[in-house]
Amino acid sequence: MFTNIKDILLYVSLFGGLYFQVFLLVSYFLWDGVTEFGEADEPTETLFEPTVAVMVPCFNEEKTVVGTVESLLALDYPREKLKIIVIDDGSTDNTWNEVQKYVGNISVVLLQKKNEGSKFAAMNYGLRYIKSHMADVGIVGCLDADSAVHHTALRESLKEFTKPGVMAVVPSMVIDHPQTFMQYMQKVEYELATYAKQAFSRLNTLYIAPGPFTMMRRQVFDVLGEYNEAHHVEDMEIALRMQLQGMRLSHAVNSLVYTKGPRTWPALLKQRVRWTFGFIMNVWDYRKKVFFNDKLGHVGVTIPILFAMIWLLVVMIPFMLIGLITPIIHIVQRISVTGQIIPKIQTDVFFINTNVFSIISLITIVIFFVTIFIGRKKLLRQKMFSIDLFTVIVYPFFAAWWTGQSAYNAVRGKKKSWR
Amino acid sequence: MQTTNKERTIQWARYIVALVLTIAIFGSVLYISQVATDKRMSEVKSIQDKIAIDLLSSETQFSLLSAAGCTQDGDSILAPEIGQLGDRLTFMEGQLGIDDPDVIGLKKYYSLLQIKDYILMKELGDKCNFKPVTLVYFYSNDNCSDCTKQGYVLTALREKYPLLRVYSFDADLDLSAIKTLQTVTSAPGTVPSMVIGGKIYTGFKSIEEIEIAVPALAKMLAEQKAVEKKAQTKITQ
Repeated sequence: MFTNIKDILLYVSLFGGLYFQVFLLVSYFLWDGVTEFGEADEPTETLFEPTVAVMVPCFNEEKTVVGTVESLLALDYPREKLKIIVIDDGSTDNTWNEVQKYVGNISVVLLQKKNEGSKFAAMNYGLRYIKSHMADVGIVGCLDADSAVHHTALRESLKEFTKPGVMAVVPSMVIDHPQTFMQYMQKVEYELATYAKQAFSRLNTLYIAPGPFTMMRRQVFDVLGEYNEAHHVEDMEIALRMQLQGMRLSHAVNSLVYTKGPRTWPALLKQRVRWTFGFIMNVWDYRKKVFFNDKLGHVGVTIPILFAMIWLLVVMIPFMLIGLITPIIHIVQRISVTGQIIPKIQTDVFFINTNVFSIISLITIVIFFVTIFIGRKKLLRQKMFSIDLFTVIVYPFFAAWWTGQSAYNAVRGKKKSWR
Repeated sequence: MQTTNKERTIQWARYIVALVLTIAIFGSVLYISQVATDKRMSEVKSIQDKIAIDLLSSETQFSLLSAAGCTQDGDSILAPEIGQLGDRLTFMEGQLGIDDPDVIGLKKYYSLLQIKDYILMKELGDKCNFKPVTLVYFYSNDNCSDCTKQGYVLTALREKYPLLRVYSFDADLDLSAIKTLQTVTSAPGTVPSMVIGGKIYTGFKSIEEIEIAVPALAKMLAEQKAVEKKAQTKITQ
């Protein structure tokens, strides 16, 4: 009986995973270049050059904040139309002193506030400043103080705004000079994410407006109000609110943002648990408005699919662990009793593995690589092959870890709130 | 300002195209896997049939000649494919699962062939006055980690001593002949257990322990080396 349940779960998750991959590929390749309303999805020839405000919320970023501001000042954009609003969110280090060098710079505004424990409060502080002091600002963005932008990032982003109905533009994120294993793993992951963003963008189902350099029309905040606490993922929650309002988010492939990414596993785990937990909680909060709501277009279908996939992955975790540990135990046992490190390899075709699970897993891995290559080579124009590709072997186990922990927290959190 | 709600629609065609493609991939994989399994099954069956014919032929030859001719050594008479078949069945078990009825059927047939080979070898040894080195091994696939380890040891042993005849039996198989073999060889009901040259060994035994327990193995290795050396000199000449 147990074997049967395990098999059913395995096949359901394999089918679900493969279906989602194929669906994204279909969405990416069978895109006809028109929006869901039938308009040609092309940027107009006219130059769009509004006044842009970029908020840089920072909490103890003494080492990186100057680099971030410098990258913004180096943007290819008229100085008088660029406003950089540095918001020191009650840093206890030297951040405030570091940014004093920009006093007198016409493009930089320095603000300081008391820390309230979450980034959304700092961004709302900046939004209020823009509302009361910068009537001419048409586009508002944000850049985390550990990230930097390519000098064409803003121009590329603004070009995207000239496509029909675009209210927010999300950039492509790149891991800047990876050094640790975790950073190399994130580099490949971000390349895959670039492809996924593009596929989601073509479907008009982008559900995150990432903190680093997502640009939004001022009207977004006029209509939706400020950022919410939103389980510490305000960038996802505001994107969901935009989708519910029928506001279009688009992905500008060539708007490049460089970020460092956590160096160590504990730091990465903390970040990902925050993101995944936030995703689960926000989707749960909005489930009645979002799930299978055909007025939302593809959002009403893709969000529940993603939500279901998280739980499917959680259910699969024990089997993944058994699948990982069992062969290791066998190899150790074999070596300990026979002393043979490499076993005799069967060369007969009889011994080629044609188990359904193995072939489908292989196909899934091939598609996984194809999508990484689309992100890496076609969209980001990077080298196709490099040693960091090997990180994908262990990535699913790390992802399973943070997904499991997030799901556990979510279930525990839910129980608490039900009481 | 474009913040108004335009009527959005879901283009179900994309979901259907993706579903059809996914079903097509899954269907093809199921088909390929089934064809490969069927091919393997028929290969295993044909090896078994060949062994059965070889064994029958040996038995017949043996009965006809009785003790008259002891010219042939055991190895040339008895089916050499048995070891090879064992590897194939182990692989099939891994692919289809230990509970697969087809695999169980093949294993029963394989066990019977092994028993016949064992008996024939023994009779031949008695009549022709040589003592074959045989190792009868009883194991279980059900929660027996020592059996897994013993399996690795026996595979390594077979590689080291190709002349050693290893007969492996799944003690959980519902086959009365295996139970009878356990009785006649006085093997205990526990797993793993081995009968080597009439002596019984229970529990896990390492390569070294088996080599010490069976001095004939050293002799076998020496013979093997001598044969190899002879063949080598022939080639160089």
